[in-house]
Amino acid sequence: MRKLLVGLLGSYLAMPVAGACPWCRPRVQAGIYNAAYPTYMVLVLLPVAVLLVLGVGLFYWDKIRTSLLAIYANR
Amino acid sequence: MQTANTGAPQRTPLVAAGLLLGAGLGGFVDGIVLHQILQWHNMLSGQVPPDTLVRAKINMYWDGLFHAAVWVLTAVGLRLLWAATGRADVPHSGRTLGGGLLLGWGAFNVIEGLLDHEILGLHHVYEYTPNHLPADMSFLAFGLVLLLAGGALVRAGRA
Repeated sequence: MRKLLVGLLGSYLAMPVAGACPWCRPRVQAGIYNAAYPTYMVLVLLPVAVLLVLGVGLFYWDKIRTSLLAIYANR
Repeated sequence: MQTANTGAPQRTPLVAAGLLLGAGLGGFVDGIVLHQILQWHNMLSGQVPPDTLVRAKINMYWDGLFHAAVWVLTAVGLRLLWAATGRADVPHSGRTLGGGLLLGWGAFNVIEGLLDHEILGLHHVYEYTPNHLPADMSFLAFGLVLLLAGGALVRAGRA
């Protein structure tokens, strides 16, 4: 059993990084890192950014409201 | 950070922390169940259909990036929960926190569903059909149910 595990681990370590698909890695990287990358990055992260602003804004709502009221009062 | 008790209990910080934690944990449910186990709902499947191994791996990258951001939501929620529980004016209410968690999960489904599925068209919940609407609407409806349940639980926490 131990020999089997050592053999499996050894063969795993000897594999190239993209062992499951050694031939397609350049095509995958070309499909990710292209001109559309910044656009996709913004679009993919947009819902998380909205939720983050919502949650943090709600947490500090008292301070935000006080600051806004102070700004409004000084106008 | 310990803050002096100034009178009226403040539930909003606990709801806010629960909201971020709930959104993060809801995002993990989405990632584990829909993306990985069912292999639906991939981030760019509306733009780069995962119909070949290469395209599936491209989607896998963007799924990973999205869920890394969801991890950040969870971590920030945990930090805010720590800050909220250190305040004397924030009541230690399981219902309020539970309500916040459900609100967060519901907000995740509704915001992600409206932005990515309906407005941006980045992907749909179930891409492998000409009619995306039933799965998309079910996702949104589940989010609305969670929002209603969360709101009810937060209100119950005031009692």
